[in-house]
Amino acid sequence: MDSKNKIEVKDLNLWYADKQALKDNNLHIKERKVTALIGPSGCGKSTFVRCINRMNDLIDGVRITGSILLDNKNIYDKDVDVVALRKRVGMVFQRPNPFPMSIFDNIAYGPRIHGIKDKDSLRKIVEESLVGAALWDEVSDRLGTNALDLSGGQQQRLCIARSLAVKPEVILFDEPCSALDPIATGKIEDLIHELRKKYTIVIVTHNMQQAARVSDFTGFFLLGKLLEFGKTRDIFENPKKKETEDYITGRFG
Amino acid sequence: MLSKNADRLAKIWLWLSALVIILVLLSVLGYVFINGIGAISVSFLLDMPQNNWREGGIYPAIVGSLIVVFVALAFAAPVGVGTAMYLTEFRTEGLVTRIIRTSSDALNAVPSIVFGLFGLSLFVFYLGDYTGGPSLLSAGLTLGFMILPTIIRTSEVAMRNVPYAERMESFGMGASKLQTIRNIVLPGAVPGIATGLILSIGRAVGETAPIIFMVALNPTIPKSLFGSGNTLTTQLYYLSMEGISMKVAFGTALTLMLVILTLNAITRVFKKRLSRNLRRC
Ligand SMILES: Nc1ncnc2c1ncn2[C@@H]1O[C@H](COP(=O)(O)OP(=O)(O)OP(=O)(O)O)[C@@H](O)[C@H]1O
Ligand SMILES: [Mg+2]
Repeated sequence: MDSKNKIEVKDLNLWYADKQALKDNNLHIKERKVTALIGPSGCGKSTFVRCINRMNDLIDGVRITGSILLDNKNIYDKDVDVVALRKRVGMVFQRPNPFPMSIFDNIAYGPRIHGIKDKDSLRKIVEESLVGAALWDEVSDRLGTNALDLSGGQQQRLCIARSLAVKPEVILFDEPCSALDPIATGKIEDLIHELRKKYTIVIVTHNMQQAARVSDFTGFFLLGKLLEFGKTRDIFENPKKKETEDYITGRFG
Repeated sequence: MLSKNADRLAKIWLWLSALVIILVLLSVLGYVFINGIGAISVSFLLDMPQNNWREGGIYPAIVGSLIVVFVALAFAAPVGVGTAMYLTEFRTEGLVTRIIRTSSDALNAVPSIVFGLFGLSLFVFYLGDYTGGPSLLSAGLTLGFMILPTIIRTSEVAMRNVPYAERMESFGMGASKLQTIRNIVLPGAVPGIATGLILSIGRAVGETAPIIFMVALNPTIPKSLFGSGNTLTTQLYYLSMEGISMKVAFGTALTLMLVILTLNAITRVFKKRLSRNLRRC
């Protein structure tokens, strides 16, 4: 059975000042599936995912037209509470950026921001999130140590745990493995496989094998436009556009 | 051969320069120490002056210095940190930030005696009804103006040093701007801000010129902010200028230097903390 559309992007355009970075994009993101976004550097993948939790609002001079429906509600409507939106749509960045505080406080940051003060509840959320991010076994005995002392791969899983702690429905990953070695990358990929059962996932990646391994759907961006979108199998085995084929076979010039 | 000799000459020159600095420092410190140590004792610090300062202690000057520095900080710390926060967190670079930054730099370039004249005109003559004229309050506020640029600068640098990515992570979890400032920016910037504040205290406690028109030699404990008082620097100036007691003057000087050296030592501790914080980048 086909799962429902969690996110529907309609005629999305975005300008940085005068420069158009996204052009007339339309796509549907299925609930509890992994959607990979690929494309050459500078084609607008990061810009696109930042639209989904309105992080672009924080950049000066950004102008957006079109709409993005999350559960059929346009997130760019005037009455939308951006804080509540970002709670529902979490983000994991390219480089892990733990806060300079303990592992526990890092994970508890989001819940605390959203008003949870009770110690036991916090402890429970921290444990659940770390388990969810496959980091619990490695850090359960040292939650009080500074998160900056973790390895890069552990830091990235910490950041994933941190976004899980807010209990999002959608998680956006912007090249989450680009700063990691193959083993740490493998762990994150396994993790994404697990997370897929509960969350809707969008992942930007430059690694074709990774896109093929982790995703159900793949979108290929070129110069700010979604050129091709479909089941990952179809995209990789029989791309309809020549540009897509050239890109995934590495012939892109 | 030639380059080797040049090398050696350069080394000697650099070494001598370094030596000169150390000698100058040691002789100033040593001179004050030798002349002042005889005067200093617990009662010197905590007793009232007797017999026109020739006997007794310098307690009123210590209290006065503490009060003016406190007033200066109470004014300049919130204004300075607030300005820095406005510049870093609430405005993008543009005309407004440039105007604020240029004003702050210009303020920093004003000679301290001119601050004194300005303080005299504003707080003593113009606002005298509210400040009590040449009072500790007027003196403190004048010092506050003087240390404002330092506080703005150091706080701004401290806040900018908190990585942009940490702010983004915080926003990404649904934190508001104020929550992000409170939980991420300020904690990260505290060591830097504190360093700036302590440097400013050192500067405020050591300045004479800005307050020379407002603080006279006064042997009593100040009764209120609006009353007149005495500070270490101005007392030092009057005691030596009027040849009242060189011994007490040197005792005062030594006290002053110990205070400033202590403050510098504290800043160093904060700087270490600061560099430890930087590993997160
Ligand atoms: N904050 C910004 N201000 C102005 N222009 C920007 C900004 N961020 C991105 N751009 C521009 O928008 C375009 C798309 O950038 P984006 O970062 O979305 O690309 P990307 O596909 O994520 O690239 P990469 O694979 O290198 O991460 C680029 O031309 C970029 O220069
Ligand atoms: Mg990118």
